Amino acid sequence: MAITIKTLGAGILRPVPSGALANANVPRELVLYAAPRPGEFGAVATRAALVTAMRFYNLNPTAQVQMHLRYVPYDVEKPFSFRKRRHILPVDMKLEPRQLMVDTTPLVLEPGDGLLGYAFTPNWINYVISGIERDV
Amino acid sequence: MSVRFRVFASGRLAEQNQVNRFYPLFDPVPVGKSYVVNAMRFVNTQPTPVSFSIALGRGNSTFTIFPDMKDLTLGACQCAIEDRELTLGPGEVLQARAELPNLIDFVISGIERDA
Repeated sequence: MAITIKTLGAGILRPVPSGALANANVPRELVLYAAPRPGEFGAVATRAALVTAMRFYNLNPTAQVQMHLRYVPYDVEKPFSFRKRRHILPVDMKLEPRQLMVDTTPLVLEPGDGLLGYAFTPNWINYVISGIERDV
Repeated sequence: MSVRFRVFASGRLAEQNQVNRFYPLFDPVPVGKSYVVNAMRFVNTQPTPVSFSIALGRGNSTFTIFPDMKDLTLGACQCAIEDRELTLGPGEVLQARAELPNLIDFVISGIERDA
């Protein structure tokens, strides 16, 4: 039963281009991390994940940036863009200029579950998601 | 001894209009298993305050063990997190009561293992 300690996701919050992952009814949220499940986002393994820390940093030196973070459970019956999304941080949370927000509450993701992020002003919030992946 | 990372429940409180009464958030822990709940997140998705409660259910009884989450009013767009671990044995379950339906997103996750 392999366990891997790793950076689950890192990058900068920006809207995804319209297309495969976009749905007219929801914001164009970026997939920050998805626990591997074959057929989902190109994964070949089946693994669950334990997110141990999530960091969001507003790089903007002068302006606050609003963001939100949602959990989307895997649903075999629905394509990704139609799965129900659940907020896991305050809705439309504001990060002040140069503010770092760290969430160390553990969060489990089962295979195929994902985390979606969205910044109302793109390309200012850096994120790093740390944790553990484990074979199922 | 099998151990699994689990999301025990996610959704919206009182989604099926179970307003102002306790109802189970997931199926009771099966015989031969035990759960370690290591995080519960509740987020008010609306711009109006709403209150809710969380309790432990065992059989037909409901036990208030989360004083911080008893009739807790979440302000507009606010979030409540309980990250003190809780173990659940066979037949036990977490229950919720919300004063208004379909407003509070929640995710409850942890570890399932053989008892």
